[in-house]
Amino acid sequence: MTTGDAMAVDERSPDRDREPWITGAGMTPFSGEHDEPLDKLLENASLAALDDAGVGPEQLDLVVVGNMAAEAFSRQSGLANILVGSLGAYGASARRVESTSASGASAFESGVRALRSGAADYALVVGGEKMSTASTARSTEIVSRITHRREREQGVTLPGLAGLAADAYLDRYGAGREELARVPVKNHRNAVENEVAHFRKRIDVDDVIASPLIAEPLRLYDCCPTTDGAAAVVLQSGATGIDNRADGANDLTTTSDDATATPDDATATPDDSIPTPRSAAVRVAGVESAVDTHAVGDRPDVLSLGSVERAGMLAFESTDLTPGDVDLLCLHDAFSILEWLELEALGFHDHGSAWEATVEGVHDVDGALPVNPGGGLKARGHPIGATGLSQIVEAVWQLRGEVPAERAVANPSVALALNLAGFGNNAVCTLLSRS
Amino acid sequence: MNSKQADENSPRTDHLDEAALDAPVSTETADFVTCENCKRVWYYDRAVCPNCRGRSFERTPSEQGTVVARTTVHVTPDGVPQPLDLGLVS
Ligand SMILES: [Zn+2]
Repeated sequence: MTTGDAMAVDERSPDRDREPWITGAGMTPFSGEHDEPLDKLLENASLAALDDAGVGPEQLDLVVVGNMAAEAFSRQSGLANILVGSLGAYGASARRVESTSASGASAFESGVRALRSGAADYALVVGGEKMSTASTARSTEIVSRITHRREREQGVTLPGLAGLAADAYLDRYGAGREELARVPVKNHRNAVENEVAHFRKRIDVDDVIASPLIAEPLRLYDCCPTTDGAAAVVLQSGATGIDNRADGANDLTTTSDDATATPDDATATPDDSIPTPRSAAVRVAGVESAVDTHAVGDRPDVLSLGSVERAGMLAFESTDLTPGDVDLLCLHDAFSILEWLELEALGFHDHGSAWEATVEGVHDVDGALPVNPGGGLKARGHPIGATGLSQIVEAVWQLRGEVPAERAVANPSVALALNLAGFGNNAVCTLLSRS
Repeated sequence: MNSKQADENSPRTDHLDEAALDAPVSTETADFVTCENCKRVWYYDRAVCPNCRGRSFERTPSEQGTVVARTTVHVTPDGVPQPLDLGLVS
């Protein structure tokens, strides 16, 4: 862990070669039911990210796949091995990473750590889940397995835990049921102009209040859907020739004169169909994760997300950034109440005050602190293993200014993504910076 | 977890713990576990006591507490009563 101050960047310059950058981002559309099998979804997202980066599969020295439950949903294992074979990434080391709903960001963290350590220079990180293969009942059952065994015995599911937290929050802080509805209303509004989102329709507070009860006080529109999809990024170390210019723009130099990128025995000319890099690289300023008790009952307070608090603190400490530098957040709103709990755990609002900021419009795309400009899990969708990477993809698109004006945050420099597992037993916090 | 015995002769078609899911939902008083070394009480059974690293626990009945949050769950997995009232007690 590097503790950061303004000088740390320069003092770290010998390590600039090991700095991780995102040079490509891509995802499949998220939808309630994809025709393609899971391995195809992973492949499509990977190709989109590789093409965006202008990197060929043969340049990859690491492939990490994030996925929670391919065995249960798709009766499939060996996803990383299938993917490298299909892509022809024969120079890569390959594996799958799983931490339930944080699998995507955990896979990303593994890739970043490999680059920082010098174990890799070109990494592909892709997350995906295909959930439509299971009936709603079966799907609920698969997801319910991630709670503590004793919680399951008592019938405690994630919606149940979220219901308890929402009940406690509204009661303790005086927020009303209609105020909580403002979270999914905002996230749905943001997804309308997101062409990869699962739901692209506006809803209003009355729609939320009229939707079926799931776990009181939470209703259907407080809860994310089950979704199919995949999302991917290409990571490159500074050693591959990313020039971080002082003016804030950056550039990806071509790899033709870069010995680390070209296999010694390369005889074939790369296919012309591999495009040159389209966009500026985005710097991975920090990514850190932390855990909390598995059983929510063992926590000091049902409203405290210790893992989020710690992952956020560690992520900021590892950089020269503070919460005041953050221009947009992609949070894990699997349930509406989580958006407020995460904002407070990350230190953006005092405990009990995030709800007022939502009501005042602070979290709108044009507000002071935009949250989930891509629609969040609620409206973009939640294909479990893909979610953490889809948050990072959205953050990259926002930082590059590549989203429609209706949901574009104004000139952002720093983005934060928070991917959560279960009801907070694991959390991964990522800080991305435009330069 | 006695229901695990029921299908011990059936081949497992899924590596996940189906039997645990099929276990009946407890309607009795929840048990806690108490660390035999430091006597700290934990909500659920666990391998290691975070307080003292102790590995021996005994089941202890829960005591009366205050309900700090409540919910009624209207969508539950198969085998779980619906609707289901849940409370968090401190
Ligand atoms: Zn102990």
